[in-house]
Amino acid sequence: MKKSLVAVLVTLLCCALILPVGFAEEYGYDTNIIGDGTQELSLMTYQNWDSAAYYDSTDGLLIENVLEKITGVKINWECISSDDFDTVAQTRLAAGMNLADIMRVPTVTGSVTKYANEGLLLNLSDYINEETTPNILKRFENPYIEAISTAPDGNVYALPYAEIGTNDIMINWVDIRQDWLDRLGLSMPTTLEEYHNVLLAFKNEDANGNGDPNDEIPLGYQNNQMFGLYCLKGCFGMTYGTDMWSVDSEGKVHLDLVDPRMKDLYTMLHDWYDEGLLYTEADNSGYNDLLSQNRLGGQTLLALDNVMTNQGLAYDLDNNAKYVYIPLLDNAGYYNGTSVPEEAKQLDKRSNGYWGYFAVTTDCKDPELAVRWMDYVWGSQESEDLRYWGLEGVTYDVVNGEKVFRDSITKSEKGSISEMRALGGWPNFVGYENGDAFLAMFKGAYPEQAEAEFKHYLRDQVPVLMGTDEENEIYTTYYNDLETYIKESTIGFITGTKSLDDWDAYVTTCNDMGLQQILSVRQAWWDRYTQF
Amino acid sequence: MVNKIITAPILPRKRSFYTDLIRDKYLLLMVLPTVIIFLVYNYLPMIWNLIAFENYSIRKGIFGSAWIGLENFEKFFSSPYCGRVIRNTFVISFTDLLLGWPVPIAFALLLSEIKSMRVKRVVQTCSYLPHFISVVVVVGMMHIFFSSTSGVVNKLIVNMGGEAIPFFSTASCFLWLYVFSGIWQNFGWDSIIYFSAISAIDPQIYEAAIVDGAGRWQKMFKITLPSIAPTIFTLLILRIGWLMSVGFEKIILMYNEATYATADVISTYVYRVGLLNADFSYGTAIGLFNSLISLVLIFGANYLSRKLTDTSVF
Repeated sequence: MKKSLVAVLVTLLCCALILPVGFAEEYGYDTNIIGDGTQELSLMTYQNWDSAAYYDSTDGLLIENVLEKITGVKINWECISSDDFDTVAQTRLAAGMNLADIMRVPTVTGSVTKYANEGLLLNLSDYINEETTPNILKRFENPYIEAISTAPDGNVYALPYAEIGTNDIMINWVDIRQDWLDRLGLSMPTTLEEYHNVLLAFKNEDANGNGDPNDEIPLGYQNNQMFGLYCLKGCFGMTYGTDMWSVDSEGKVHLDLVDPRMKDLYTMLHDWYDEGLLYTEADNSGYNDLLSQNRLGGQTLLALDNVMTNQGLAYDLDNNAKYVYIPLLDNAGYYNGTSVPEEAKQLDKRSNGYWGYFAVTTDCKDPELAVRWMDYVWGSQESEDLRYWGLEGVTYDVVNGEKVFRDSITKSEKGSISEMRALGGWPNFVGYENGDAFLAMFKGAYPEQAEAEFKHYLRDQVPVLMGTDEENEIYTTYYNDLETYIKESTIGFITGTKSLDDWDAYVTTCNDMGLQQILSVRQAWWDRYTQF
Repeated sequence: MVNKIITAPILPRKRSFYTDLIRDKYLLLMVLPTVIIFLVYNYLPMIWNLIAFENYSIRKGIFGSAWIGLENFEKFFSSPYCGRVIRNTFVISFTDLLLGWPVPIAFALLLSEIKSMRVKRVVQTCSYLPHFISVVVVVGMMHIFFSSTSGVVNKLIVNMGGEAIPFFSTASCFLWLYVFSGIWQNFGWDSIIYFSAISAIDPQIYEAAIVDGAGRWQKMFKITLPSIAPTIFTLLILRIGWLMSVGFEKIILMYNEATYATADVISTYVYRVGLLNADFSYGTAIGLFNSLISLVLIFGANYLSRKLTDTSVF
């Protein structure tokens, strides 16, 4: 017994010693292009989203190790789980001590300018020039990237962790069980009325075919939970999807959620709630259970890659399980009895294309090194390919001059993106990517078909820029309470704990709580954005 | 003739602070680490309460930031959520106190009546085991048991012909979920101190009572309860001091937009606006206000207890 244990341990130890360390030369990269291998930088960021592979593990992750060899700069990771990151980083920044050389700025609106004005973030503009940072300047040729990277004073203090390419093709909409429709002999709904009938059928009939007609939940939620039901506002003359804000043809910014047409949406949703068509939990508890118990007919605000993940969960019980997006539903009544004109059908992209900012702190001993590291890792095409495609011969092959992901990635049981993340790819830190890798990952699968169907409907969200001190002050003062109130009220309207007769009072309260001030800030951002 | 002996009053020998210091040096040395820990971790941070009155800027520090007086407090009292979070804090804490405080006492009283030591020990161990489960796990278990789609509680309701209740998304259920799960988790642990108080009662008193013909209930109410009353009231006063710091982590784990109306308390609000929103001055101001109420409460409770029962903490 003891002997065998020792044998196992010894074998494990040997394996650990001969694991490939990932020398960059092996894969055809130049090495030590920034440092000479002796320099170090500390980086404070989220822990890897793949829960089994840590950036800060002893051996490191393959792709990050190769990056270290290429740059010649060793990264000292300081990783914090994404849930706790803002709390930890804000406390650290408030103390203003022991900051990492490069850190993710907490994702609170106005953070970058606030901490830059406090003198905690380095002004990158002093270092950005053709010689030291050619790659950053190249990225700035895209006006949107320049707009979101530039503070109101014209300086650059932080670079966005941007996945603009993926966001440009990222659908975030309502899905439905295609196989349930087939089982009940229903066709894919195209109008709101048909959709309602489908949900009723899911509710009343044995859609999942397990013999129990009562265990199906016709519609559940993913992002934003029950509040996210507002995404159906497209059926009532606004845009479909995620964005609560809109800009009209005169360039004026509005908050859709106080639009009088929302009242009609909430009236309808409240009826649906009473009919038992909606999942009754307002938080996100339990939907994974429902998915794997094969009981969930669809979800709101679901991103494309999550459609695949959720399908995988339902697959265990029912290997015909197939989730697809519903079309952008028509609602004839709202367009004087005619269909929604094709050009008015717009689906919001999932996000603004970036997930936060990375900055060099003023605690950094060698700011030039840090900026050059950012230039290569954030800005260069080589780094983008390495981080999103991985290594040739390991994660992808080149076939007929085109990069093709290996089966080990595309057919991975835990999901292609997770598989890449386990190797250190698809990182959640500073970077830029153009979306090719995302599409290639799902070649021949449903996402490709969804792209063909939805791509021409996709619309940019109303941009969020870095605010001035004054704008940030307004945002911190009003936004938190206002958002809480809007979310609570929306859920109240849907579940019926708040009467829709109170709609006018709701709008008045929103205004009292600073909606107009917030709108003026959003307006200022929009006006500045249009100048880039 | 009686000789009056006049004795001079014995005057205390004049002792200086330093002689005391030298005499008690070892005792003082022993208490020193505790004093230092209290100073560093409990008193020194109080300086930071100053930022409640400032527009705190990291760069300028606590002594350099602009002084804005009571502006942050005014902001809190004019916030639409001020009334609600204060009310919820009181409702949740008082219900918790009212229902949660007698349970361990009753449990200790009843269990001490059991003769079999083995039964007593098993019951006691089982009752305080939940105390060691982390709050996250307890809330996770509650989510499973009370799930509207697959929870055992709702299965029961539905099988008896009722309609499933989304417990965690119903504002009126929040208070009871919070309070009763807290009682379930802590009554065993909290009763330990009462057990020890009960076991310290002199058995001769009981023997005398038996001779006088007292029954079980009479012994319990006439002897046990009065004997442990000082313990009960001391613990009550201490508990009132904690009243305003309701289980913040637990509420964060349990609440959502649908239950904010009854679940959002001062500490969770501070977390959202102060920490998540990085408005440290504002958060500190609300926190300071919270501490002031705690202070008033604990002094009030101590005063009342001293008047009514002659038991007090200070």
